[in-house]
Amino acid sequence: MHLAEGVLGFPTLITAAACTAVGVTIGMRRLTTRTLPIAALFAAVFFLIGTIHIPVGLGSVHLVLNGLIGLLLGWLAFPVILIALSLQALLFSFGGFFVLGANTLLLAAPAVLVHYTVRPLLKTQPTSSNRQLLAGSMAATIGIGGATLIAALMLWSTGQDAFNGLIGVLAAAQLPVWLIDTAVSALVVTMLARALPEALSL
Amino acid sequence: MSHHHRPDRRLRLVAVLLVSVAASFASSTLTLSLMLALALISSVILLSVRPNNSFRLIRRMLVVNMFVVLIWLTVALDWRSMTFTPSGITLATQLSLRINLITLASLLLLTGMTALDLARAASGLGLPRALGSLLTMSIRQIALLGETQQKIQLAIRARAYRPRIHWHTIRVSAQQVAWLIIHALLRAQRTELGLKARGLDTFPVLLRPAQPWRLLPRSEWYFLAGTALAVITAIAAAEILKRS
Amino acid sequence: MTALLRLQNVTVHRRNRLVLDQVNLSVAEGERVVLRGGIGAGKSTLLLAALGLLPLENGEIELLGTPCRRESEFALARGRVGLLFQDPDDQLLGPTVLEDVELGPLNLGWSAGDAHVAAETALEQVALIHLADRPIHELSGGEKRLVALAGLLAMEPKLLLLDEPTVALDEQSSQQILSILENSGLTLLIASHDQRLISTLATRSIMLRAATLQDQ
Repeated sequence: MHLAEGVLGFPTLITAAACTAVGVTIGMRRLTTRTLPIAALFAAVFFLIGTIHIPVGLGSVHLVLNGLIGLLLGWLAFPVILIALSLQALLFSFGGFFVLGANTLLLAAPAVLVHYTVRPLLKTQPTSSNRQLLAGSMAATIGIGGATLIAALMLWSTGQDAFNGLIGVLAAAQLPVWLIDTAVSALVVTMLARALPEALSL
Repeated sequence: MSHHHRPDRRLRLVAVLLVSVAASFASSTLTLSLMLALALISSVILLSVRPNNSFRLIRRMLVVNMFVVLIWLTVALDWRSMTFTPSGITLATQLSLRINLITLASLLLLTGMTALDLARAASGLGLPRALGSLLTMSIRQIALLGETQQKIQLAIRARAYRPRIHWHTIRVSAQQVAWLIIHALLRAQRTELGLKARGLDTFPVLLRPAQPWRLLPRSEWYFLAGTALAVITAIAAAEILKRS
Repeated sequence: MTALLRLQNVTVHRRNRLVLDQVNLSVAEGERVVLRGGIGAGKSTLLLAALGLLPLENGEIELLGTPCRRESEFALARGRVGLLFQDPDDQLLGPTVLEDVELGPLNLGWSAGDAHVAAETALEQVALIHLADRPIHELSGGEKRLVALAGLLAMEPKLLLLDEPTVALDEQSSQQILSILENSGLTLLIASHDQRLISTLATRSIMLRAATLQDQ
């Protein structure tokens, strides 16, 4: 989900940018010789995931998978998502770098939440495939749900009731995204558990 | 031996941020209209000099304005009475102007900027070294992993892939993502060895130290000055017109 | 003749498989040793282990006459002992060619000016100075490998370890690498099955088979 620049008001943008700065700082503390390449590679993964489109009815939906990223990376999701979004902003002209803080926050904060709430599900080995599917689904639900909530909050803090209609439409538009992200996330967790289980305990 | 160095674009980044901040701060329709007018004039001038960018710019503006239409439909229109409310119109106008202004200014100021240009510009503006190295490494990995992703897509499509069956599409997308993540982790392992083998520590300085401010090309200062002038002129003119 | 590299009773497991079993190897200054062996024999593993990049189950490693046990000791040696990976993308990290080659010297603590000169010299040595400002991802496979080699040469190493330097290269690039290595005058340990490389460069040849080394 990207909020276009110009919609959010100045105070909201500054607050969001400050929160993102805190998140990124915490994330950067987790960078070591081992995790620096992992972070760079996942920035690439998140960037490329955004280019995968799935046809739905008349249109197409593109994958988000911020919950999955959070499940795997934890606080590193903040700098990783910030970098991926800034490159997308430049290369696909989503315009404006001031809204980067807000867009990073709404994707990365739920990602970190997923890490703390869903990750424990996968701690005790071996995990059943049902548990894996559940973990993936929860990751996507918290990821998309959280993002929608934060976006709604930011919009509301800008325009109050005047934005109710807009918030409603944007939230409704997230429904197909949530469904597809949940299905894909769930499947990906099971695939990783089979092919490369270390991925789930970085 | 002289090498062709790409100009440091940090001042353009500052200019873009300047417009974003000014536009987000300004609430008067008049101020925003004047700023947008100046931006439109600049775009006409720029496009007459470099017409090959026009298609991309116009297409981008059209896409952005679809979102603007959505805003009009949700903010300005009262669905119960099917009429436009005055306060709604004011807000929608403000948002339309702001969105168009920021998008247009970004497109104008950032034309031709590559990802590496962004990394150098940000680094020149004081981006922490660790983040700069991460950004630089990520840019390379996007190129490398992107090639892998294309191969994965081809391999998957070669297996009689029928996009009409939705559940199958989802399965295939999940496979793509899983493979992407697996390849990413394998590359990360090898890159870590490569870092160590070359004796580079955790935050290797992957970007050359930024040029000192006084060595930045004049033309870049003109871009920034021009933008600042336009913003100030618009604000001042709006104040004057309001008083008269 | 001083031994620039010495492996004594080195044992390495990878993914629960015994890859090196009590391997002994000594590379003296001036030698150009070629390490042969089938696919999956463990040649890459040996080179990685020699630089301390893999955990040792058993054994001792000496680099440039100094025993290396801890990561810090290996880290000190890595500037003077270069490893050319089979996939150059694993070790090309700078944005442009020149910047990448400068990385090594800069990280050794050289001044920006000295690093720049060393990088240019190394690029001239591999005849790629004209690509100095090219972004890395615009290079061909052969060019990438030469740039990676330049990155190692810029640090003025005493010993070079190379993992299949001519594999997947066309005739011309292959020949180029061989002559660069020949003219460098450096001590070399090369993992390769390239016949021409072996006949052109090798002063000694050893075979890795069943996790052990045999002279040839």
